[in-house]
Order: sequence, then C-alpha cells, then structure tokens
Amino acid sequence: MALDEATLIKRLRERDERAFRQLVDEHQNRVFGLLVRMIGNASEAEDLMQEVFIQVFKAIDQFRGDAKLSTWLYRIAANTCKNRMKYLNRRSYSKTDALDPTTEGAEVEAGGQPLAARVPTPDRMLEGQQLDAIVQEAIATLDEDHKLLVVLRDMQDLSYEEICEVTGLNEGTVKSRLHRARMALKEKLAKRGV
Amino acid sequence: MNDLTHEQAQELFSDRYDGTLAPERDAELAAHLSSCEPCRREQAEFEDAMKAVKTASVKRSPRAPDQKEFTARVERTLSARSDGRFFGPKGIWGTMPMAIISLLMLAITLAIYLIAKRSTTGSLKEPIQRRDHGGEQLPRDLRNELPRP
Repeated sequence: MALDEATLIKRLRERDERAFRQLVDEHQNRVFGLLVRMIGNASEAEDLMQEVFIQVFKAIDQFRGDAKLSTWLYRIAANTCKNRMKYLNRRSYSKTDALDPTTEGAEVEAGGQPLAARVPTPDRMLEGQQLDAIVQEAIATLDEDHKLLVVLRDMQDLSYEEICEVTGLNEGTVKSRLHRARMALKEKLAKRGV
Repeated sequence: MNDLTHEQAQELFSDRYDGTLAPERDAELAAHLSSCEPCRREQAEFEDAMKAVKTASVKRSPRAPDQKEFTARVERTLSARSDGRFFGPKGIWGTMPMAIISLLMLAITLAIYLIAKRSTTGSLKEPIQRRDHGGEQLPRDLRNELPRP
C-alpha cells in the first residue's frame, strides 16, 4: 500500500528502502520529463535522473517540509540539470536529440544544417513530429533560465506557486521572465514558419 | 481607455494566455488590439507559439525508462556507493520482518530455559552452593550416595 506523503518523508528519513522505492516509482516520469526537456537527450536525462534520486536519498534530512516533496524534488532536478548543462557546455556539448530516439526526424543537430533547410515544404514542416521537433529545437536554444520556466510552466504544467518554490524566485520575477521567454520562443518559432 | 502603447499591450499577452489578466486590463488590451494591426499579428503569433508548445508537450511526452529497471539501477548504484549499507544483499535477518525475528528469539530463549530447567546435572531453582571456607559442597542427592566408612 502506498504511503501518504508525511509517512513517506518520515520513512525516507529513516532510510527505509521501500519508501525510497515508492518515491522513485511515483516521481520518475515527471522528473524524467523535466530533465529530458531541459537537456534534450534521453540517455543523458536518465543518468541525471539517477543522480537526482541519489541526492534526494542522501539529502532528505535537509527537506524542511514547507513545500511539497515533489516541488523539492523538482528543485533538486532543476539544480542538478543546470550544473550538468554548464559542464556539458564547457565540453561543447551540442546535441539536442531525442525525446524519442526512435522517432524519425526527431534528431536535430544544433551544429549541423538548420532544420528548416532540411524540410522541403511548409505543409510537411508543420506536420506532427516535425512541428514537435521544431518546438523542441526552439526551446533548446533559449537561455537556461528561460528554458526552465517554459518547461516548468508550459510543458510540465506547474503552478506559479510551485515554480516560485522550485526556482526560489518571487512571483513577479517568474512572470516577467516567463513572458520574456515566451516572446523569445515566439520569435524563434515564427522564424521557422510556425 | 485605449491608452496602451504597443509595448504595454504585448506585456499583457502572457497574463491573458494564463487567464490571470484582470478584466479591465483585458478590455484595454482588446481595445488596443482592435485598432493595432502589428500588435494583432504579434498576439496571433504568440498564441500559435503557445499552442505549438502545448501540443508538443502533450503529443510528445518523453518516453521514460522502464520503471522497474530504472529503480533497480538506482538501488544498485546506492548499494555500491554505500558499500552495501543500503540496498545491499541481505541475509535471512535482513529480509525477515522484525516481528518474526523477535518471536524467534523469544522462542529460542524459552527453549534454552526449559532445557536448562530439566537438566539432570542441576536445577535452576537449587544452584550449587559454595562453602565460605573453600571446597565445594556436593549436591544433596549425591552426598547420600557417598560410601560410608
């Protein structure tokens, strides 16, 4: 039987292995969604997700309980992700592939030929997976803070309150930055004919 | 009423999209859009972009790794990093619930007590007494069997 959040936290603090299993089972899909959309690569996101849960296991005593466990988890995921992106940027990592590695047309190499140039007609360009790939590519080129806000709000459907807890920003700052991020995204998508 | 600049009008796009724009501001924006072609175009592009993002997020939900496999992988890593302290291989004591272990210990203690009590070499009720001045006093039953002079 699944534990309620208060009991789950108590058991996690006791390093209860079953509680940890429940935590991973319950949250891995959403954490993976955030990471893969931020980092743009499924296998990298999976490695990162492992580090996130290990960090949660080690740092659960630092969880004060004034936010939801899922929000705290998101905060750790966001910070871990930012650190990894900095590391990857230093290593000139430029792959933005693969929310679904099996999807044809999903792979976009930022350093390669522009996606728009490879797509022959506007009609085809606007079709399903290609449109999605364009959106993902456009999001990938936003700066990190903007990307995080767009992913949290517009893809992961977090409330403004939750986003404030994850990012540590106040609501006014979140709203104004998110607006700038959305406008930047609009420009990028408009240039690609969306 | 229709005093918004282009910049001010465009600043309100996000709030309108989120549904958090106050009615009077919404009316001001609507009034500005009705008379401003460039802002109307910007607004349409903004809505299209948001729609595309929403569609992509729903249609293209990332395929998470196999849940059991991933959980097992995290546990293996935690076990390795904690030198088996967590999620390590466990003997019978590690896998058995604490209540069963307690009952077993109680049963073993009881069995030892009963065996000791029935022992022919002595009784728990009548422990071997020692004399204050040295040599041991024999148990009462053995004393009677000693050869008489």
